[in-house]
Amino acid sequence: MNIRCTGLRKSFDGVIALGNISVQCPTGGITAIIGPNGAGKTTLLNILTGFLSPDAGRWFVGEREITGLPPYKVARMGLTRTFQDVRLISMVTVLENVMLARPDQTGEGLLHAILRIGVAGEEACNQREASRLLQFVGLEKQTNERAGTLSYGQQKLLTLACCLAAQPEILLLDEPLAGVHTDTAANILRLLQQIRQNGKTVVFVEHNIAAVREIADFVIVIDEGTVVAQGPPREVLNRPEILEAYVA
Amino acid sequence: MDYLLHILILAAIYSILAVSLDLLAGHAGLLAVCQAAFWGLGAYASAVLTVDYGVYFPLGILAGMCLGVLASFLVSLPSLRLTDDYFVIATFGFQIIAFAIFNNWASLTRGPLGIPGIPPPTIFGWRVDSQWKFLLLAVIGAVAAYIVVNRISSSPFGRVLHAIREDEIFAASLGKNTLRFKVTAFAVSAALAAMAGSLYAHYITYIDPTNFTLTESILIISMVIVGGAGSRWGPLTGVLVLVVMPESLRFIGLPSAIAANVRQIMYGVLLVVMMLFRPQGLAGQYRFGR
Amino acid sequence: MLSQLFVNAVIAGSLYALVAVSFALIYRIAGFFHFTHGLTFAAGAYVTFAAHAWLRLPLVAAGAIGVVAAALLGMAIRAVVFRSLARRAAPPLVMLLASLGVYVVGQNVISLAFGDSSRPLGESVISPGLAVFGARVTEAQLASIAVVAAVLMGFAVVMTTIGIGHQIQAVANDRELSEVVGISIAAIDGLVFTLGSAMAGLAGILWAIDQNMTPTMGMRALLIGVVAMIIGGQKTVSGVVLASMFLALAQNYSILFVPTAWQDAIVFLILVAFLLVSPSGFFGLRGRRRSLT
Repeated sequence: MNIRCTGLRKSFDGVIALGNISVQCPTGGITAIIGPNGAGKTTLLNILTGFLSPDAGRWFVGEREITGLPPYKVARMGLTRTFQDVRLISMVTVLENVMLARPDQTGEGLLHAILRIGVAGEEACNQREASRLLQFVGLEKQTNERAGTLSYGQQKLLTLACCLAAQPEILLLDEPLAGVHTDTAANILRLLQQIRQNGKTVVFVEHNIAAVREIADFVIVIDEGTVVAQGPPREVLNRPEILEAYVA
Repeated sequence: MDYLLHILILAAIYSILAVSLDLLAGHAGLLAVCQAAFWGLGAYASAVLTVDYGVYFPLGILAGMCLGVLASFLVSLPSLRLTDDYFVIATFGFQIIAFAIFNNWASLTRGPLGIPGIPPPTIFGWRVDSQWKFLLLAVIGAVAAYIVVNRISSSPFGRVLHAIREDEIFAASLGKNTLRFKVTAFAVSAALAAMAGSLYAHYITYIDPTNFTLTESILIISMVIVGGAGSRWGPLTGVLVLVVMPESLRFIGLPSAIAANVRQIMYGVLLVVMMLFRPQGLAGQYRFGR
Repeated sequence: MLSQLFVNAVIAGSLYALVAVSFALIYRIAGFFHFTHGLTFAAGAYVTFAAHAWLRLPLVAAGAIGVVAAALLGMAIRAVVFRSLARRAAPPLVMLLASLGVYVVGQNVISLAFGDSSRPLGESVISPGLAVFGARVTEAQLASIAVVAAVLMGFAVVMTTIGIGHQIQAVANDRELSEVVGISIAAIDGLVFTLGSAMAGLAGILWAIDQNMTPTMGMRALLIGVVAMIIGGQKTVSGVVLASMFLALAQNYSILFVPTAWQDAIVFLILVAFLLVSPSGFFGLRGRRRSLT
């Protein structure tokens, strides 16, 4: 499944954040969105995931249009995301955060919650799946710790696990490597490559150009609300004007 | 002895109110100050149906609860989109509207005169006509309410409520229809409060609008906060502190004219002191807005 | 009849506006919902009553004492309760709950000291008043409208032209930047509490002169003022004034259709209608008090 948008426009109090953006991220690959701060990258992410209404434009997941859908419906269409500020439920355990993310839980229905028909079995299954994902990201040792006690890097791994638990086809990650230790960053990059191998599409916003060179299949460069360049990293990142403005 | 039973019955009824509000305020993090409105709705529904139409008591309770659910939709749908402070104000507003309805729709509620002569309940032939029997009924109601709220809060449904309480944006990004959860929690809370209202009406046999005012709503939210919002024993602790203990005032022998004011001052001071020194409440862990 | 309702609405609306503007002033700086505003409103009226009826001071002098008392009360509550909470990094909902607690204490103290019954403030002078477009307005009512108008206009002028007004606006719009630039947040906070409480006290005094006072008057006026602030927007005095007038007109003209007892509920029904049609941000989702940047 790919994700694409046409004609996205958004301004805040007269300042143009996005001016007519139309992009398409290839299916099953890793796309990086780069550009200077304030270029509109996070605005784009917020619009695509339904958290912000644009002034104009349409966007699609695969063949299905998701224009104007609220965030929870976008997530159910197979598109999950992380946030620049790590968002988690700090008061519950790591395991519970991931179990929360599991979709289609009958235990989330009122009658089932009160009468507890079939919930125990489903919870056991949720727990197994959640544990498997924690193992995948390398947090199995922190399973029963409160999420608020994790280090920043661990929290980022946890948000990735939560993203995956929601069973998406596409992951949109907002600066997944920002502020983490180089070891954790390398770990995250490895995980993203594995996720790609599992057939998912990954789109991430980043400032870390080395990382982009390493794993991205496609790069989109956004500056001042418009797409300045897009293409494979070898091609885009070696253009002199791109190098000068954003990479150096 | 009669007096002790009276306190216990009131404590049981207030427990239902506190536990039901805790589902909304404690577990979902929605600070609502209109629980007395739903309480009154259940009381008036039961009273009108049994006194004016001779309806069978269990049906009266059920009717009150359904009415509570419907009324909760009228409250929740406009106000749930508001951020914290404004949400509180909207619920204040509904409390005031509810009181106006109880007080002014005289053809239905008999207005300020109230409804006297509410008969003792009869359930499947069991006539609840003594204080001991009523205590049993009230405790059954309280236990049922406690079980419902406990079941909900410890289930995946409750997990989502707790997520909404801390970070609704995160919950939505994971595919949770947060509005549905909040509206549902509101409806359950209102239904349980209405149930408490039916029990209350049949116990004190005479209700009027002054039983269900803003002051009462503030008392109920104080019970939840002081006891510990979102915790297992918090609401019940709150009932103990705010219902049972002030009764000791009677033994000091304050003239009744000022006793009510002194009691209110105690509530206010307790609320301020708790917020200063232990905002998570006596038995709780959750602090609003953390 | 219709013009009389209009006159009544203008008087009520002017007082709602004063409550709303003074509330918004504090709310925008302090960042939490201070129910104690209703207390300073009532305190202004009751202290004036005590000074006038018990100490036999002339009404205007008593009124001045009432305004000062309200300001002092606001400052004291801030110093004892709100600053202690702020030092403990209390989130706004905790501050709201604490202010509610203080309000409950205050309302009941007033009840104990003065009784629950509705009292007039000042001597009721049976005067025919002036005839304005078929309605009757007393001199006192005209004076009340004039005072409120003067205070609100003066307030608007101060906020837009004088240095301290700019500082207040700066803190309201961008707290962190204001601190960086050297504005003392604590001083501005203290100033707005004092000024806002004084304005609330004045509103309470004028209200009591026109309509009698009861211990619960503060909560009533506060809630109506807050609705005016929500509908009118927090940012401009004129928006709040317009909203206040609208609410007062709706309340007064509604008695042509429904019994007067519904007047308070009318205000909230209007609020509900407003909420139903106004847009919500981020599909109405509340994050952890951080914007989605």
